[in-house]
Amino acid sequence: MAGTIAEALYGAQSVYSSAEEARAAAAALAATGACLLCVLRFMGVPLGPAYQAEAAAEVHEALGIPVPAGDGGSDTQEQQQQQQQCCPACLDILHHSLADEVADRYRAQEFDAEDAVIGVDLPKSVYVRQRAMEVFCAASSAVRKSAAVGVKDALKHVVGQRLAATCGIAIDNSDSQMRIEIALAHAETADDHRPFLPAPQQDSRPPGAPRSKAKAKADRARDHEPNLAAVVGELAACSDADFRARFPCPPRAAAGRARIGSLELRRASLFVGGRYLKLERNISQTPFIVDGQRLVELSVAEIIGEPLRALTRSDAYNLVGSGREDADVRMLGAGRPFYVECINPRTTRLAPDQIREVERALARSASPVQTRRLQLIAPADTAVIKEGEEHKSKHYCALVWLAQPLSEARVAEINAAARHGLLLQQMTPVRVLHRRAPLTRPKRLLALEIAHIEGHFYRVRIESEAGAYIKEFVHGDLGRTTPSLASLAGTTADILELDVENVSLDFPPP
Amino acid sequence: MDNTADSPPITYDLGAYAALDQELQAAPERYLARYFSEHIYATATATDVASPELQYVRMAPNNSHPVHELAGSGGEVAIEFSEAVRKSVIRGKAKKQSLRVQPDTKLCTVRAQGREFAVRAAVRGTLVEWNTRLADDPLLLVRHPDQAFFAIVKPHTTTDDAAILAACKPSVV
Repeated sequence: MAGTIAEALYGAQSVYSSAEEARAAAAALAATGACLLCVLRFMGVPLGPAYQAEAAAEVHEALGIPVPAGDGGSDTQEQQQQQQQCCPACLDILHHSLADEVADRYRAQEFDAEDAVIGVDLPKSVYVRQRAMEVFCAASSAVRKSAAVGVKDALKHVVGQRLAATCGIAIDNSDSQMRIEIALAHAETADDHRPFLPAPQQDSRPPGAPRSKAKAKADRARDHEPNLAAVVGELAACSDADFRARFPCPPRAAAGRARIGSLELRRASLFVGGRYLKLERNISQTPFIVDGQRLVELSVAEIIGEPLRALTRSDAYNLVGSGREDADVRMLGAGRPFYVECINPRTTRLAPDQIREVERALARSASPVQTRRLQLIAPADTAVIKEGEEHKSKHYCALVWLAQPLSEARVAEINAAARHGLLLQQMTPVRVLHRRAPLTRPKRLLALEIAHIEGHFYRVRIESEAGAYIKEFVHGDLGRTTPSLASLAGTTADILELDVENVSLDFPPP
Repeated sequence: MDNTADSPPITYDLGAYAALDQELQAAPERYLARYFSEHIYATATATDVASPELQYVRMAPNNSHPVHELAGSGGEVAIEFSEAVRKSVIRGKAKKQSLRVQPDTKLCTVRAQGREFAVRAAVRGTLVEWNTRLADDPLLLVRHPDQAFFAIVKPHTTTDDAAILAACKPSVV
């Protein structure tokens, strides 16, 4: 270990050809109050073992920098903050306590991820101070010119090392299911970047002249919180001399440390797909709440989604079905294709049998909602659910009451009506007119079969194109669906029960 | 592909509908009462509740739409919708351009049996549909009273039954 650290500091890879030169540079940098990692950064030491918290003692010795008083692990945070001012370059963002905090909070959630991407949002003052240090280094004789390591990369490295050691996850900066977003804040230096704001755009109009609402809003936004890109651009455009005039080089220390403004741990959603059966009435597909009041007690989404949410330890879930049926309509046969999106799952490594156990539990408890072929699916497999909704046909069975019983001849006539497809013109049903556009939609019935049960009661089987309103076809919706079963039968008709017998869509994928 | 094999065959318990069966046999058009609640809007001309020139206002359960129709009358009927109604623009999910109506807004005039009757909106709201089929074929009033509604109005208040139907009385059934 000692060998690699010494090599990194003043070996063949380094810009310093001897230990003395390295120490001189280190001393100059340390004199600014910079922390050990920032000294390494501005010496151009590449990210590696020298940056580990465990190697600190060794690095101190190699570079001849005294260990700052009170930086032992046993001191409380308040004592440390009182004894020393924070690093003027990184505002103590690179201090191991911050990386530890990130690792602790991550570990508390117990994500079962194998890798993660780290995103970092730094306070603007860090960029200003980085430049200030670079200007200082350029002017200093002891410090050699090198590509200084940025704070963002250094933080990702330090946090990554900590996470790898404590949680066993690898940091993959190109692609991963897990995102760790760290936003840092430092109130005390919040105005450091002010000298570097881009000049306000010249107004062609005299002040006091009315501006359009949108422009006035943009102006206010720009003055209030200039974006990072603007500040970075301004810094890049600024010459060293110009910079010196606006900001102290090296930068002055601040009293308090930067803190974590927000830490977001986000995992890509997990998808579970299958088909659901609704064996009883008065169950909506998703929770039916109007004006804060729940109008239907049970929902398919909650019955299937809750156990999945518990199993995957997710924050929330969404059920998406290939079409839906009214709350008072049952879904029978092989069920309706659907998927549940589990949002921010902590557990994704699940055996197929664990998913099947959710299905078995629903069957065992004689739940009114059950599933078939429940399984994990890839995100790409979800597209077919929505496509199928528009294009696939559905089979229905209905209990219908007719005012005038039909002759056998009439029954045969009606049954022949859809032999070549019966085209309906359906105006938007009265019961949904409040939330859909008023249109007349042509819908095709592919099959129609009416059979007498007894008295005024008939069983009607229908196969229809997706999107057809079956209840409205039966009673005619005040004459707004033509033809209707009522008009075909020449009498008043009403629908008493409706069941979906089949949704013909091939899902889940085999 | 027999997808119905998975669940038991569909059976109906007709006994549960015995009472409904009797009610509907006596008066088939009462099926509408399963979907709408019924109220009567008393206009200036109808002082006698038993008069056949009664305007029914039917309200859907989620208070979405009153539908207006006339209790049956016989003989020749002429129907003329007001100009404002005929020229109204009804388009889009929110129906922003549609005609706004007050309870006493005259939607339509009916001339039958030598008398004239004004059909009024009865509620405050937005006109969502007017019955062009009835305009073309006024005798629908006689042949198919359940299809002979005049208009569909979306009320401005959607939560309070009493507020929406302030101008109406529940019908005596």
